[in-house]
Amino acid sequence: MLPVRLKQGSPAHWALRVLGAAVAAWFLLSPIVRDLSPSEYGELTEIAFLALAAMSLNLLIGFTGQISIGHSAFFGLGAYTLAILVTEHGWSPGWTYPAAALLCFVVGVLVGIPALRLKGLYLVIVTLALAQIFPDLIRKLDVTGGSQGIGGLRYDAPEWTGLEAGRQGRAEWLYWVALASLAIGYLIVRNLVKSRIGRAMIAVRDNSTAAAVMGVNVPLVKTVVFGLSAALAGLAGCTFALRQTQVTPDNQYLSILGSILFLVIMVVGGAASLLGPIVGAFVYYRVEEFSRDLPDAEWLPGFLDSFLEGRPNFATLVFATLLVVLMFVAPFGLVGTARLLARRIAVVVPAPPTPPPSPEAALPAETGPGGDDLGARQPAADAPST
Amino acid sequence: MERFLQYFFDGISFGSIYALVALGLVIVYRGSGHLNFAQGELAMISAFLAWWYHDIGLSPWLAVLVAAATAFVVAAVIERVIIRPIGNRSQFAVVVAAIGLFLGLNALAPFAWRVRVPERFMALFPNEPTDFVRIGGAEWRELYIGILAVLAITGVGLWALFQKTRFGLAMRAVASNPESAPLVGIRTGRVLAVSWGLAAAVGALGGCMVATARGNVDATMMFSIFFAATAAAILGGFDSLVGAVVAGLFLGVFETMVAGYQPDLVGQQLKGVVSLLVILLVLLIRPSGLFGSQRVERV
Repeated sequence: MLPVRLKQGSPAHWALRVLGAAVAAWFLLSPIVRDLSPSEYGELTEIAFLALAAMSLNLLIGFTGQISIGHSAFFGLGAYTLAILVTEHGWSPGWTYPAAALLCFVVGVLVGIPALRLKGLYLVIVTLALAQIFPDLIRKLDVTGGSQGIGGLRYDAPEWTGLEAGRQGRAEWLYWVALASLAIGYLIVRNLVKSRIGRAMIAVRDNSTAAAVMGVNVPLVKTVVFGLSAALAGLAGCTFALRQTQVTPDNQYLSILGSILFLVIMVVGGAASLLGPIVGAFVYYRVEEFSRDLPDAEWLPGFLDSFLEGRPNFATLVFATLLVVLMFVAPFGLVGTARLLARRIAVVVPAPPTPPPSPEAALPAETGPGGDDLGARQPAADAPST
Repeated sequence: MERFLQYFFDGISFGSIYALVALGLVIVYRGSGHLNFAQGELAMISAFLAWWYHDIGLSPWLAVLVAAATAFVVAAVIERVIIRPIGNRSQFAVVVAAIGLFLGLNALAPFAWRVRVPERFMALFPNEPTDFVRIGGAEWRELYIGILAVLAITGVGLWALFQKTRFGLAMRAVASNPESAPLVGIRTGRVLAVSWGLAAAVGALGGCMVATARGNVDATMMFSIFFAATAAAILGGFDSLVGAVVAGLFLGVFETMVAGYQPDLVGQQLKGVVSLLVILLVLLIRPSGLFGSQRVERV
């Protein structure tokens, strides 16, 4: 009899959780035993920083309903902070991560303050302005190396890791750094979303006027979330700079296309879902790779082969179409759809609140008690403040 | 004075292009309250289409007009098939879908025409080095006068359409009160589709002007222009056609002057900053822009 009902906290529920954690751990940690080449590590690193960038957007768009298409600027700010601190001031790349996050947080808050007055479209436009101006600005400045950019960035594995010094060791070490920053980003977003602030964020997203009436400090929530989101994007930018070993203003991730790609990854993975950005980054990277290699594939029939010859951007077209189609059929992305399907198989019945309900406990958490609507409730991602 | 006039003439031509794209943004916004993110990329694709039509044998101006007509149809279909069904769902979904269109159209041009480097675009106006009018010592290139003329003709045409025709009346009715418009027998859906088409056609003219001024068509050519046009639309009030034209021309002139008189601090590279500051100032001081109508939001 489907769906199977599992009590929250029952042994079966715990078994499922352990199984999920084990699968995730295998995916992330298996490089230890799989003996990967530097380029394979590079791919995983790229997936990790794309996931982190998409996660930063998810915090802002998915959970708080503030649309930004200027995150490429924060991403670039992080990358350039790392590059300048490393080459000009001789910092170890590891220490530049917190510095870059802090700087991006401050800049994000500064941008967020005028953005407080802005709703919906106007915020989109201001962040569009950021994305548009950032490459121009770094081309113009001297400290950023102008249009030449800054090169020669690398992060040798520290000795205590026992990794070898050459290219292999660096690629491996960078993967762990990227994974650690992704894990930190994940924990920050997860804890934030499941806390009181997270409920405030969701309230702001669903109806900011009602949230203000309920006592949520809407401007504060918006500004802080904007800053935090910028900081996470900056962290992703740091890893990006190390992966590229150089930063130039012409890189597509630092232009408006970068912001749009992060948005694509977030939406494809699943807005307002914690795992969405990670799944999205993985799918995006693999599909991109697949379609980049497609014209050379041997199994392809000849007429398709000659059709694709000399036509770039096939992957981008696929994702653009996917984005529009997803808005029709699955606005919650892959993770949201998977969750809907899983709910047909098994439903977790939340345990009733044990102590006499205090006022805080009565607030609807992510899993509302009882009723027909059992299981993790799908957050209504597609209703930003009007 | 000579320098001032020179910057003025150059700025007016940039401004005309901004105004054409901004007009498209305003037409769409008035109808449905959506910011059409793909406006700039639709214009870019239209310029590619015009280039292609010319390539297969149409005369330059006929190619531009046919491209504008194609853009009209394509955008009307996009509105009907994509934007309207999604718009019933949520504003966020519309923004995402429009961003998807942006991305897709941007990738489509190099994909469809196998273009890797910018393609040469035909000259629509006399554009030899000697083709200019000398006014007060400054040179006003005939190309730039031509672009301004296109804006003027488009502006007058739109004015006539909105003020003098029954369909224009219907469009104004939908803009001022989308709930009541259907009650008096206006077919809102058709009006919206036509708004999108009209906006894309005007934008197509803008795209072709950009291409002929640059001398080539390139997939990324509209990025900065779309952004400046958005700034112009905001300055003009976002729902005012007159505002879009005035603000577009003003922004073009202002930006050229700032870049010209401050070559070290701003220069050509940082012209975008002027637009950013204009956006921020307008939003902080007078969010309804110069000509926009104040809106009261009810909860």
